[in-house]
Amino acid sequence: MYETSDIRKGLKIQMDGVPFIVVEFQFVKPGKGTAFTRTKIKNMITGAVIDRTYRSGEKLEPAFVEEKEMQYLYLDGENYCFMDTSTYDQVFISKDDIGDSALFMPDNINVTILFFDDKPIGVTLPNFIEAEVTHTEPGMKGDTASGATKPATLSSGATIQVPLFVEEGEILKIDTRTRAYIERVKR
Amino acid sequence: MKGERERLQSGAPTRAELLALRSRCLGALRAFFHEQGYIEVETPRLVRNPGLEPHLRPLPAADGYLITSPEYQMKRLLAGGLEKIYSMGPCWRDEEWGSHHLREFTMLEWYRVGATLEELMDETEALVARAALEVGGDTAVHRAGAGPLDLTPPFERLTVADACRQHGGVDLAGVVEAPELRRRLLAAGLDLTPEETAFDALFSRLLVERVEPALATLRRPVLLYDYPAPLAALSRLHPDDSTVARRFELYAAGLELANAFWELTDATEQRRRLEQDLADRRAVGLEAYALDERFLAALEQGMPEAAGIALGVDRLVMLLTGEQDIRRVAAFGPDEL
Repeated sequence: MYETSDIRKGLKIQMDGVPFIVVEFQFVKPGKGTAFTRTKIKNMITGAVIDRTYRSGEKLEPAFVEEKEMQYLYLDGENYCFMDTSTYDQVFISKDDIGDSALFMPDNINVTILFFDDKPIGVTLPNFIEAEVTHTEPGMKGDTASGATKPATLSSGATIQVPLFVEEGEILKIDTRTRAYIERVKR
Repeated sequence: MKGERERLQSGAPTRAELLALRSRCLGALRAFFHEQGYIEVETPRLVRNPGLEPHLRPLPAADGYLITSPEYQMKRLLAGGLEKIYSMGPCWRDEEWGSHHLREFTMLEWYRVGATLEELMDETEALVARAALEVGGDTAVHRAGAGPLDLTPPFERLTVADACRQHGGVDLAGVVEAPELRRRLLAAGLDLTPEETAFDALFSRLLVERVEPALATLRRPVLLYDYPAPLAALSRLHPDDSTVARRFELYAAGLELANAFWELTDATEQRRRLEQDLADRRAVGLEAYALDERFLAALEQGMPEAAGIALGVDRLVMLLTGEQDIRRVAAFGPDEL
């Protein structure tokens, strides 16, 4: 167990079976009162950040969380399969655990798999991915001025807004954090 | 000096600039006290009997302890006939660290015989405003992530009960028993662990979770006064309401700057409270130190009525310079030694 004096940025703890990472902390002690550590902790699965204030002396349960880079291979029914490219070990993560991140996961892409107590629980995408446009309506020539956009469906499954000049078959660079179009990529 | 404030706001001051501003602040504080007829006293830093407060950790040194505050010795000087005294120097509290805490910090403590708590509030406001003028050229100080803070007296004055009602959603009036306090905090939606049963722990939780964050957003500093009687520490109970103690704390821009008492002068009551502190220390497995019998003897002999206050100088410098990290307003932080 951790003590409140162990709290540091990056400390990984668990609450109700969910791993959290400390992103901010401050020792506080109201006048003549008991000491606390005020924290902001991030849910390592959903990314949601919450406030939590620990009283000195409170115990925190460590979370053994590991990250490993693996390659996405294929979707097998309800589970996504990933492989460690050095050991060829394979792990499966359910659709539910991955959520809609899967829509930005082209085949064979390298992602970071989060293991909690040796169990794979989530995927962190690279900040940028490249994916092919599989469907989009043709844009109108000369209508590029006002930043107008149209929907485009990507090979990874997501539909995002793109500029009107984008055409089917083109490769796009996407920021996975904002899920926004960045630019066209020449192949 | 005019223009200094704008310069401070335009970019983070360097360490050297911070030390120069700190020096100016120390000068302003000393000048203020000398103008008010105070004398500076240098009480010992190494003592035989440390403070007994259950939430402080005195640092052992040589055959004694480093002081957590000069309180006992300064009160002996009051009993000995001095009437207006201040002391500015290092104090030590182990296991306190972070952006608002230094284990070795500078404390300004002053006492005035015959003063009421209200007069001490006035004096504290005047002192802070004076230091602000000296350091930055005006009484508006910059706050990170919020509008400016106006240090022009008078500050906001708020009873603890009003602050808890307005900012904590808890009615504390008349509450002096821990189980009742716990019930009210739970009813107000605070998340408490089963171990949080002591009055001071519960009250601290309310302050930390609700009241202090709300006070940090106000445009003026706040003098929070009349604490629940169980938190009297070394202060006297209110003559007209024994459920509250005549004590105040100064908050500004999220910093707790000072704690003041209308001082307890009754030796019997003082001994009872110190013995309670010792019992509390033993209950949580902390070392129980010997009582400072010389301090108690001074009270028995007769300590005059007085008000006294301790102010964290490093935090005052933070407030006046806008610096967010207490380690940068010290010549060397704990990581730099």
